[in-house]
Amino acid sequence: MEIIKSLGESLADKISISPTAARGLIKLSIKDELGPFTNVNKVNFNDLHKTISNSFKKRLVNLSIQDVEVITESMLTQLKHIQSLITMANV
Amino acid sequence: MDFLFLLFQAFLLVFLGVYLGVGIFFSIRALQTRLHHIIYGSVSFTLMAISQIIAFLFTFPDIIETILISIAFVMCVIFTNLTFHKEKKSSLPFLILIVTIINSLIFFVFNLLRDIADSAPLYYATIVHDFIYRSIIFGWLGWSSLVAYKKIKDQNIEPWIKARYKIVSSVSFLICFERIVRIFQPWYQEFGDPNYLESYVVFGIISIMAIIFAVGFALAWFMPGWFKRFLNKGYQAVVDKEYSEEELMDLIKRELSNGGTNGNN
Repeated sequence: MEIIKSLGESLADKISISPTAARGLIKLSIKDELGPFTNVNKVNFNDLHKTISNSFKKRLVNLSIQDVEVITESMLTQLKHIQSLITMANV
Repeated sequence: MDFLFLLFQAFLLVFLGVYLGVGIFFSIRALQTRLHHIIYGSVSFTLMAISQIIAFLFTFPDIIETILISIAFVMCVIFTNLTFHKEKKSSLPFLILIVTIINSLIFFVFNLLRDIADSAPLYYATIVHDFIYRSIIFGWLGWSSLVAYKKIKDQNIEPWIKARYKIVSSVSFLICFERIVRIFQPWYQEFGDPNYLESYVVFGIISIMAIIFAVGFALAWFMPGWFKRFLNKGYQAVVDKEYSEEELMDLIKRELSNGGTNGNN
Protein backbone atom coordinates (compact mmCIF):
# COMPACT_ATOMS: atom_id res chain seq x y z
CA MET A 1 0.00 0.00 0.00
CA GLU A 2 1.46 3.33 -1.09
CA ILE A 3 0.68 5.21 2.10
CA ILE A 4 2.53 2.63 4.22
CA LYS A 5 5.44 2.81 1.80
CA SER A 6 5.54 6.58 2.11
CA LEU A 7 5.15 6.62 5.90
CA GLY A 8 7.75 3.84 6.12
CA GLU A 9 10.31 5.86 4.22
CA SER A 10 9.68 8.83 6.45
CA LEU A 11 10.04 6.67 9.59
CA ALA A 12 13.20 5.05 8.23
CA ASP A 13 14.76 8.51 7.94
CA LYS A 14 13.68 9.49 11.43
CA ILE A 15 14.99 6.50 13.37
CA SER A 16 17.70 5.38 10.98
CA ILE A 17 16.48 1.93 10.08
CA SER A 18 15.92 0.45 6.64
CA PRO A 19 12.64 1.26 4.83
CA THR A 20 11.80 -2.47 4.84
CA ALA A 21 12.07 -2.61 8.64
CA ALA A 22 10.13 0.66 8.99
CA ARG A 23 7.29 -0.57 6.79
CA GLY A 24 7.26 -3.82 8.76
CA LEU A 25 7.01 -1.91 12.03
CA ILE A 26 4.02 0.07 10.73
CA LYS A 27 2.32 -3.11 9.49
CA LEU A 28 2.87 -4.82 12.85
CA SER A 29 1.40 -1.79 14.62
CA ILE A 30 -1.69 -1.93 12.38
CA LYS A 31 -2.21 -5.58 13.32
CA ASP A 32 -1.72 -4.74 17.02
CA GLU A 33 -4.32 -2.01 16.76
CA LEU A 34 -6.90 -3.55 14.45
CA GLY A 35 -6.41 -7.27 14.96
CA PRO A 36 -4.11 -9.94 13.53
CA PHE A 37 -6.34 -10.71 10.53
CA THR A 38 -6.55 -7.11 9.33
CA ASN A 39 -5.64 -6.63 5.70
CA VAL A 40 -3.02 -3.90 5.96
CA ASN A 41 -3.75 -2.92 2.37
CA LYS A 42 -7.33 -2.00 3.25
CA VAL A 43 -6.82 0.47 6.07
CA ASN A 44 -8.37 3.92 5.95
CA PHE A 45 -7.33 7.27 7.40
CA ASN A 46 -8.98 6.67 10.79
CA ASP A 47 -7.34 3.25 11.13
CA LEU A 48 -3.90 4.70 10.43
CA HIS A 49 -4.44 7.70 12.69
CA LYS A 50 -5.48 5.43 15.55
CA THR A 51 -2.60 3.05 14.87
CA ILE A 52 0.08 5.76 14.92
CA SER A 53 -1.38 7.38 18.05
CA ASN A 54 -1.58 4.11 20.00
CA SER A 55 0.11 0.84 19.05
CA PHE A 56 2.84 2.38 16.90
CA LYS A 57 3.79 4.71 19.72
CA LYS A 58 3.92 1.76 22.15
CA ARG A 59 6.17 -0.17 19.78
CA LEU A 60 8.57 2.77 19.63
CA VAL A 61 8.61 3.01 23.44
CA ASN A 62 9.30 -0.74 23.72
CA LEU A 63 12.20 -0.34 21.30
CA SER A 64 13.60 2.42 23.57
CA ILE A 65 13.51 4.95 20.75
CA GLN A 66 14.17 8.53 21.85
CA ASP A 67 11.75 11.40 21.21
CA VAL A 68 8.77 9.11 20.74
CA GLU A 69 6.31 12.00 21.11
CA VAL A 70 8.06 14.06 18.44
CA ILE A 71 8.27 11.11 16.03
CA THR A 72 4.62 10.20 16.57
CA GLU A 73 3.44 13.77 16.04
CA SER A 74 5.57 14.06 12.94
CA MET A 75 4.12 10.81 11.56
CA LEU A 76 0.58 12.05 12.22
CA THR A 77 1.37 15.32 10.42
CA GLN A 78 2.85 13.35 7.53
CA LEU A 79 -0.30 11.18 7.43
CA LYS A 80 -2.50 14.29 7.20
CA HIS A 81 -0.37 15.69 4.37
CA ILE A 82 -0.48 12.56 2.24
CA GLN A 83 -3.88 11.21 3.30
CA SER A 84 -5.23 11.44 -0.24
CA LEU A 85 -2.89 8.59 -1.23
CA ILE A 86 -5.27 6.22 0.57
CA THR A 87 -8.06 7.19 -1.83
CA MET A 88 -6.01 7.85 -4.94
CA ALA A 89 -4.21 4.51 -4.73
CA ASN A 90 -7.23 2.40 -3.83
CA VAL A 91 -10.22 3.61 -5.81
CA MET B 1 -24.50 20.81 -39.72
CA ASP B 2 -26.74 17.87 -38.73
CA PHE B 3 -23.80 15.53 -38.31
CA LEU B 4 -21.97 18.08 -36.14
CA PHE B 5 -25.06 18.63 -34.04
CA LEU B 6 -25.40 14.90 -33.44
CA LEU B 7 -21.70 14.67 -32.66
CA PHE B 8 -21.95 17.47 -30.08
CA GLN B 9 -24.96 15.76 -28.54
CA ALA B 10 -23.03 12.49 -28.44
CA PHE B 11 -20.17 14.25 -26.64
CA LEU B 12 -22.58 15.51 -23.99
CA LEU B 13 -24.09 12.06 -23.61
CA VAL B 14 -20.64 10.55 -23.11
CA PHE B 15 -19.93 13.27 -20.53
CA LEU B 16 -23.09 12.38 -18.60
CA GLY B 17 -22.36 8.67 -18.98
CA VAL B 18 -18.91 9.15 -17.47
CA TYR B 19 -20.34 11.08 -14.51
CA LEU B 20 -22.89 8.34 -13.93
CA GLY B 21 -20.31 5.60 -14.43
CA VAL B 22 -17.83 7.15 -11.99
CA GLY B 23 -20.65 7.66 -9.49
CA ILE B 24 -21.62 3.97 -9.62
CA PHE B 25 -17.97 2.89 -9.67
CA PHE B 26 -17.29 4.89 -6.49
CA SER B 27 -20.19 3.16 -4.71
CA ILE B 28 -18.80 -0.25 -5.61
CA ARG B 29 -15.27 0.73 -4.56
CA ALA B 30 -16.55 2.20 -1.28
CA LEU B 31 -17.98 -1.20 -0.40
CA GLN B 32 -14.90 -3.10 -1.56
CA THR B 33 -12.28 -0.88 0.07
CA ARG B 34 -13.89 0.43 3.29
CA LEU B 35 -13.25 3.97 2.02
CA HIS B 36 -16.71 5.11 3.04
CA HIS B 37 -16.07 8.78 2.34
CA ILE B 38 -16.03 8.14 -1.41
CA ILE B 39 -19.80 7.58 -1.14
CA TYR B 40 -20.03 11.39 -1.12
CA GLY B 41 -18.22 11.45 -4.44
CA SER B 42 -20.52 8.72 -5.69
CA VAL B 43 -23.68 10.63 -4.73
CA SER B 44 -22.24 13.83 -6.16
CA PHE B 45 -21.30 12.48 -9.59
CA THR B 46 -24.45 10.37 -9.87
CA LEU B 47 -26.68 13.36 -9.06
CA MET B 48 -24.80 15.59 -11.51
CA ALA B 49 -25.57 13.07 -14.25
CA ILE B 50 -29.16 12.38 -13.17
CA SER B 51 -30.02 16.09 -12.94
CA GLN B 52 -28.90 16.60 -16.54
CA ILE B 53 -30.53 13.42 -17.82
CA ILE B 54 -33.84 14.45 -16.22
CA ALA B 55 -33.57 17.90 -17.82
CA PHE B 56 -32.70 16.30 -21.16
CA LEU B 57 -35.39 13.65 -21.28
CA PHE B 58 -38.34 14.95 -19.27
CA THR B 59 -40.19 18.20 -18.75
CA PHE B 60 -39.67 18.42 -15.01
CA PRO B 61 -39.65 21.89 -13.45
CA ASP B 62 -36.14 23.41 -13.62
CA ILE B 63 -36.17 23.77 -9.87
CA ILE B 64 -35.79 19.98 -9.44
CA GLU B 65 -32.63 20.11 -11.55
CA THR B 66 -31.41 23.06 -9.45
CA ILE B 67 -31.97 21.18 -6.18
CA LEU B 68 -30.22 18.04 -7.45
CA ILE B 69 -27.22 20.04 -8.70
CA SER B 70 -26.98 21.93 -5.40
CA ILE B 71 -26.93 18.67 -3.43
CA ALA B 72 -24.37 17.24 -5.86
CA PHE B 73 -22.06 20.23 -5.44
CA VAL B 74 -22.21 20.17 -1.64
CA MET B 75 -21.43 16.42 -1.76
CA CYS B 76 -18.49 17.11 -4.07
CA VAL B 77 -16.99 19.54 -1.55
CA ILE B 78 -17.48 17.04 1.29
CA PHE B 79 -15.77 14.40 -0.86
CA THR B 80 -12.83 16.74 -1.52
CA ASN B 81 -12.55 17.65 2.16
CA LEU B 82 -12.61 14.04 3.34
CA THR B 83 -10.16 12.88 0.68
CA PHE B 84 -7.56 15.63 0.99
CA HIS B 85 -8.13 17.65 4.16
CA LYS B 86 -9.33 15.41 6.98
CA GLU B 87 -8.22 16.62 10.44
CA LYS B 88 -6.00 19.36 9.04
CA LYS B 89 -5.66 22.45 11.19
CA SER B 90 -6.73 24.83 8.41
CA SER B 91 -10.30 26.13 8.53
CA LEU B 92 -10.35 26.59 4.74
CA PRO B 93 -12.11 23.26 3.97
CA PHE B 94 -14.93 24.14 6.36
CA LEU B 95 -15.11 27.66 4.95
CA ILE B 96 -15.36 26.31 1.38
CA LEU B 97 -18.20 24.05 2.50
CA ILE B 98 -20.10 26.96 4.07
CA VAL B 99 -19.52 29.14 0.99
CA THR B 100 -20.80 26.30 -1.19
CA ILE B 101 -23.97 25.92 0.88
CA ILE B 102 -24.59 29.69 0.72
CA ASN B 103 -23.93 29.66 -3.02
CA SER B 104 -26.37 26.77 -3.42
CA LEU B 105 -29.08 28.95 -1.89
CA ILE B 106 -28.17 31.88 -4.16
CA PHE B 107 -28.16 29.51 -7.16
CA PHE B 108 -31.61 28.30 -6.12
CA VAL B 109 -32.95 31.86 -5.80
CA PHE B 110 -31.50 32.91 -9.17
CA ASN B 111 -33.09 29.97 -10.94
CA LEU B 112 -36.39 30.53 -9.16
CA LEU B 113 -36.41 34.17 -10.27
CA ARG B 114 -35.58 33.17 -13.83
CA ASP B 115 -38.53 30.80 -13.81
CA ILE B 116 -40.80 33.66 -12.77
CA ALA B 117 -39.49 36.47 -14.99
CA ASP B 118 -36.42 35.89 -17.16
CA SER B 119 -34.45 38.87 -18.41
CA ALA B 120 -31.01 39.63 -19.82
CA PRO B 121 -29.53 41.07 -16.58
CA LEU B 122 -30.89 38.14 -14.58
CA TYR B 123 -29.55 35.65 -17.13
CA TYR B 124 -26.04 37.14 -17.07
CA ALA B 125 -26.06 37.49 -13.29
CA THR B 126 -27.00 33.81 -13.05
CA ILE B 127 -24.23 32.78 -15.46
CA VAL B 128 -21.58 34.84 -13.63
CA HIS B 129 -22.69 33.46 -10.29
CA ASP B 130 -22.78 29.96 -11.70
CA PHE B 131 -19.21 30.38 -12.93
CA ILE B 132 -18.03 31.49 -9.48
CA TYR B 133 -20.04 28.73 -7.80
CA ARG B 134 -18.63 25.96 -10.01
CA SER B 135 -15.12 27.40 -9.88
CA ILE B 136 -15.14 27.16 -6.10
CA ILE B 137 -16.27 23.52 -6.16
CA PHE B 138 -14.18 22.15 -9.02
CA GLY B 139 -11.33 24.60 -8.40
CA TRP B 140 -11.17 23.30 -4.83
CA LEU B 141 -10.98 19.70 -6.05
CA GLY B 142 -8.38 20.63 -8.68
CA TRP B 143 -6.30 22.72 -6.30
CA SER B 144 -6.44 20.07 -3.55
CA SER B 145 -5.30 17.42 -6.00
CA LEU B 146 -2.49 19.64 -7.30
CA VAL B 147 -1.19 20.48 -3.81
CA ALA B 148 -1.35 16.80 -2.78
CA TYR B 149 0.49 15.83 -5.96
CA LYS B 150 3.29 18.29 -5.18
CA LYS B 151 3.72 16.62 -1.79
CA ILE B 152 4.19 13.14 -3.25
CA LYS B 153 5.77 13.85 -6.63
CA ASP B 154 9.35 13.18 -5.44
CA GLN B 155 8.41 10.07 -3.48
CA ASN B 156 8.73 6.51 -4.67
CA ILE B 157 5.04 6.21 -5.55
CA GLU B 158 3.70 4.28 -8.54
CA PRO B 159 3.57 6.63 -11.56
CA TRP B 160 -0.07 5.82 -12.37
CA ILE B 161 -1.10 7.22 -8.99
CA LYS B 162 0.83 10.42 -9.62
CA ALA B 163 -0.85 10.62 -13.03
CA ARG B 164 -4.26 10.27 -11.39
CA TYR B 165 -3.57 13.35 -9.26
CA LYS B 166 -2.49 15.35 -12.30
CA ILE B 167 -5.45 14.33 -14.44
CA VAL B 168 -8.02 14.98 -11.69
CA SER B 169 -6.46 18.39 -11.14
CA SER B 170 -6.36 19.31 -14.85
CA VAL B 171 -9.90 18.26 -15.73
CA SER B 172 -11.30 19.91 -12.59
CA PHE B 173 -9.76 23.24 -13.59
CA LEU B 174 -10.98 22.75 -17.16
CA ILE B 175 -14.60 22.25 -16.13
CA CYS B 176 -14.53 25.54 -14.18
CA PHE B 177 -14.31 27.41 -17.48
CA GLU B 178 -17.35 25.79 -19.05
CA ARG B 179 -19.56 28.52 -17.61
CA ILE B 180 -17.44 31.32 -19.07
CA VAL B 181 -18.38 30.07 -22.54
CA ARG B 182 -22.05 30.28 -21.54
CA ILE B 183 -21.70 34.07 -21.26
CA PHE B 184 -21.61 34.16 -25.07
CA GLN B 185 -24.91 32.30 -25.30
CA PRO B 186 -27.62 34.90 -26.16
CA TRP B 187 -30.08 34.80 -23.29
CA TYR B 188 -33.19 34.79 -25.47
CA GLN B 189 -32.06 31.83 -27.60
CA GLU B 190 -32.48 28.15 -26.83
CA PHE B 191 -29.15 26.60 -25.78
CA GLY B 192 -27.73 24.51 -28.62
CA ASP B 193 -30.36 25.54 -31.16
CA PRO B 194 -28.70 24.87 -34.57
CA ASN B 195 -30.82 27.62 -36.14
CA TYR B 196 -28.83 30.30 -34.30
CA LEU B 197 -25.10 30.50 -35.00
CA GLU B 198 -23.98 31.91 -31.60
CA SER B 199 -25.99 29.35 -29.71
CA TYR B 200 -24.70 26.57 -31.92
CA VAL B 201 -21.04 27.62 -31.52
CA VAL B 202 -21.40 27.88 -27.73
CA PHE B 203 -23.02 24.42 -27.71
CA GLY B 204 -20.15 23.06 -29.79
CA ILE B 205 -17.41 24.52 -27.61
CA ILE B 206 -19.10 23.28 -24.43
CA SER B 207 -19.52 19.82 -25.98
CA ILE B 208 -15.83 19.68 -26.87
CA MET B 209 -14.86 20.77 -23.35
CA ALA B 210 -17.25 18.15 -21.98
CA ILE B 211 -15.70 15.33 -24.02
CA ILE B 212 -12.16 16.34 -22.97
CA PHE B 213 -13.33 16.38 -19.36
CA ALA B 214 -15.12 13.03 -19.78
CA VAL B 215 -12.08 11.29 -21.29
CA GLY B 216 -9.78 12.69 -18.58
CA PHE B 217 -12.19 11.92 -15.75
CA ALA B 218 -12.79 8.39 -17.03
CA LEU B 219 -9.07 7.70 -17.47
CA ALA B 220 -8.31 9.09 -14.01
CA TRP B 221 -10.89 7.09 -12.10
CA PHE B 222 -11.44 3.94 -14.16
CA MET B 223 -7.69 3.80 -14.96
CA PRO B 224 -7.69 0.73 -17.26
CA GLY B 225 -4.95 -1.86 -16.77
CA TRP B 226 -3.20 -1.07 -20.07
CA PHE B 227 -3.02 2.62 -19.11
CA LYS B 228 -1.58 1.78 -15.67
CA ARG B 229 1.02 -0.48 -17.27
CA PHE B 230 1.88 2.25 -19.77
CA LEU B 231 2.34 4.83 -17.00
CA ASN B 232 4.27 2.39 -14.80
CA LYS B 233 6.70 1.48 -17.61
CA GLY B 234 10.19 1.20 -16.12
CA TYR B 235 8.95 1.48 -12.55
CA GLN B 236 10.44 -1.02 -10.10
CA ALA B 237 7.75 -2.03 -7.60
CA VAL B 238 8.80 -2.45 -3.96
CA VAL B 239 8.27 -6.03 -2.79
CA ASP B 240 8.88 -6.67 0.89
CA LYS B 241 10.24 -9.99 2.09
CA GLU B 242 7.78 -11.75 4.39
CA TYR B 243 9.03 -11.71 7.99
CA SER B 244 7.54 -13.22 11.11
CA GLU B 245 7.04 -10.76 13.97
CA GLU B 246 10.12 -12.13 15.79
CA GLU B 247 12.30 -11.90 12.69
CA LEU B 248 11.16 -8.36 12.01
CA MET B 249 11.69 -7.18 15.58
CA ASP B 250 15.16 -8.80 15.58
CA LEU B 251 15.96 -6.99 12.34
CA ILE B 252 14.81 -3.63 13.75
CA LYS B 253 16.75 -4.12 17.01
CA ARG B 254 19.84 -5.16 15.10
CA GLU B 255 19.62 -2.11 12.85
CA LEU B 256 19.05 0.17 15.82
CA SER B 257 21.96 -1.32 17.78
CA ASN B 258 24.22 -0.90 14.74
CA GLY B 259 23.63 2.79 15.07
CA GLY B 260 20.92 2.52 12.48
CA THR B 261 21.19 1.51 8.91
CA ASN B 262 19.35 3.37 6.28
CA GLY B 263 19.77 1.16 3.31
CA ASN B 264 17.65 0.68 0.29
CA ASN B 265 14.52 -1.40 0.05
